[in-house]
Amino acid sequence: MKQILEDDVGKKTLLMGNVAIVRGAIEAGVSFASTYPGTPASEIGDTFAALSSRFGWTGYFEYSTNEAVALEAAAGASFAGVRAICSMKHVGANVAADPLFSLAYTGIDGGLVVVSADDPSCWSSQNEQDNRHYAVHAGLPMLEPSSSQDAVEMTRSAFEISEKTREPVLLRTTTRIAHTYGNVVLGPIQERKTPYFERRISRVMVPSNARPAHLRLLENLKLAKELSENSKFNKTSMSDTELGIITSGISYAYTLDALRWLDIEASILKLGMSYPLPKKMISNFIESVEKVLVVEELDPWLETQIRAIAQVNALNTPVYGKEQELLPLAFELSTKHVALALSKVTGKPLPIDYTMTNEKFETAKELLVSRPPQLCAGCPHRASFYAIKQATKGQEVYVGNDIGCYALGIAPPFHLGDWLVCMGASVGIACGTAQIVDNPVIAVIGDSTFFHAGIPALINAVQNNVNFTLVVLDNLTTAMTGHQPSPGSKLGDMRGTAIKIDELVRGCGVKDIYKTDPYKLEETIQIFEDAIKQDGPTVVIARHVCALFLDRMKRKKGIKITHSRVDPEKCEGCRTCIDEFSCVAFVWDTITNQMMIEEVLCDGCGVCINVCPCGAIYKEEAKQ
Amino acid sequence: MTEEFNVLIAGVGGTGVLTIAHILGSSALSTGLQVVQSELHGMSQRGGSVSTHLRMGTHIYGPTFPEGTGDLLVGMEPIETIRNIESVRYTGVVVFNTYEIRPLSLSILKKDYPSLDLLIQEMKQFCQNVYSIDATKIAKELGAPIVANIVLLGAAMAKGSIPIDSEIVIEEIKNTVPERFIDLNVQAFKTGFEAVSKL
Repeated sequence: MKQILEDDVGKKTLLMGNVAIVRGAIEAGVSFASTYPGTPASEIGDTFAALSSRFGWTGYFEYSTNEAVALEAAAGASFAGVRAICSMKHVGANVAADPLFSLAYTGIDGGLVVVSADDPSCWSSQNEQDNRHYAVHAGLPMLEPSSSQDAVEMTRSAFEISEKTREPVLLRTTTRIAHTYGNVVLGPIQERKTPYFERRISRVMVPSNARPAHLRLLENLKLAKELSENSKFNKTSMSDTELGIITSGISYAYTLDALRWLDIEASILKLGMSYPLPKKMISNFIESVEKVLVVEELDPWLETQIRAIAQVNALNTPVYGKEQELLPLAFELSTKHVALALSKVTGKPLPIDYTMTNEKFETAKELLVSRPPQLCAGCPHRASFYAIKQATKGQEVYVGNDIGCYALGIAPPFHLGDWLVCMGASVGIACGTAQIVDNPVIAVIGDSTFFHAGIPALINAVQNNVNFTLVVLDNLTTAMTGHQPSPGSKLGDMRGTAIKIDELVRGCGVKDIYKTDPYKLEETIQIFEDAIKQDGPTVVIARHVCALFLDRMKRKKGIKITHSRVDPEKCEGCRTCIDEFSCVAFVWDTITNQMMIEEVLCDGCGVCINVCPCGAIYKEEAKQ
Repeated sequence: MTEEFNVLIAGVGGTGVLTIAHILGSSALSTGLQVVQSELHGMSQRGGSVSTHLRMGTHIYGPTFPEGTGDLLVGMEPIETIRNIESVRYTGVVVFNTYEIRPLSLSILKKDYPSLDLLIQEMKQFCQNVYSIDATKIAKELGAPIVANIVLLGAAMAKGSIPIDSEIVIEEIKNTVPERFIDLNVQAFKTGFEAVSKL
């Protein structure tokens, strides 16, 4: 971590894409960094957090309440004349879109870089939207790294491009860039800019200023296009005049591997600065080859523009890609995908016949048992979900779930999730459903997500007297993305004051507020029963610290975990615990037909003791 | 020098899969090789199946490699090994830990864990060189089940034809683990190495 700050020019090291972005920003003399955590962007913020809290980096970093605020704060720093970076996952850019579009009009002062980390294949996301469209839609120059080395260099250059064009620059990565380690050579670290706030009416977007601002943006994009035509990140390597490949981002890496695997030669145009496109360069490339294959993930974003460039320049060179279904429109690419496309265009077969291995794998598949992600042993959400199920037995209840670890509550045995859409939508959608149906409606949301997007929807529920129960699952941290601080707790680094959720909810006008510790099952079940029966909006705050977080602290401090055990004399094998509570530490013994607890996994929360109707589970005595 | 050497390391989240990938990755860097190592975080990580592609050599680009082109599959758990068995080529190597971590779904379905013999038989359909080791048992005997991953790393270095010198890997282990655990981890590595060397 320390090496990210070292002015050790030429040092070779191995960096994860996200960390390489941080290094690039440090080399560019960045002064301000903000984020809302979200996979696959999280490590950018976490690295800045570690640098400023533990390694003496004197720039400013904050975890912001949400992506819109994060971007606004970064823009504020840019207006004050310093270089700023704001990182988010792809769907976070939707939240930040409102300021993003108008910042393209206001323009910037200190270089402003917006990182969007996209997630093709939805590894950790609710969708796989292609954020390259934002570059065109908002009018932002865009860079797309293909490796960790690119990530360092492009981030560094992005600040310069931003200052030259006076526009925010979009740095677009994908999961396989963000979370891949690769070789990097460190560059020199520049001095930070001196703050200088210039008062300018052109930043005030009233209609009379917005109209000239749009014209200014179009002029700035013309300059950006010139930069793109001459950018070192857009490069052609000619080796074969028959087949030419145009590609960008991670697809470039797959393309190089696929060409070597198939032993094919091709000319390649790699587009590192992919908006505005270097149209002259592309036109010349198309003209110099006999056919073109466009290799890109998700939408035919390059392909559509490349076809237009060919048309404008009256080029008849055939262009292959998604239009001919040579590459998929959904999910991430791989070397195999690109090799298959190359195989179809060139007629050269793949070195491996996959129909054979697929057949073989059919028998191996029978041995596979799925191992989906699970709520951790000791997770307070499991206790909350169990209590909700017990409190609503026999009733048809509609439940909105939200973005976080607790989304795993949709799985058996809880099945708590009739919708899960985006940050805060558990509450917003409940507002509509509850006005139409007579059944109880519940929304479950984590503390960080509630602060991020749940509050306006709760105010809406109060204002319109929505009859529903909001459950805030408060584990005092942003657990899913790696335990970043949440505004409601003092865990982690916080400059300001922790916000009390009960006071906040009361301030929103909610009258019936219940607080419980979900580990106290009986009390929690009773509270859910009462809250759901009550008319109007009610809020239950189920507060208990994240078990994973607590276990790590215990391990660090050498505190012994007292496990729960099953007394085989008492266990009647009724399976209530497995069927209704389903802790990951439970193991069913198929020989004795009894339950056991796997010691390695048990975190000793002891909640299952109160789930067992036989009284068979007990807490082992702490060994002296 | 090796043009490319492809490793897939698989296991259950939280059992040290990424740690051994990072140690091997840094060792490859020290050897002067290009390294690409790709992993997934977030939702996909919570107690579920985890795998990471580690590639090293003189010409490495993509974050992953196609099925059937892997030189080595390192499995921290039997079912997770068979789940990724397609990754390795027939003439490559599989080194796996026989210690079972039973998925909850087995308990829910009241099913037994597949027998080791059956698993190995199935693995041999895909790869001719399969080596098994109870790395967790060895780690427990050393007094720390948590170093099972380092025991397995030792075994992988012994049998996997990895283009890195074992001494370099030991140096990287020393750079990675907290100082008071260095001796334990180096011992775990050597014990794992020797345990399969006889095979």
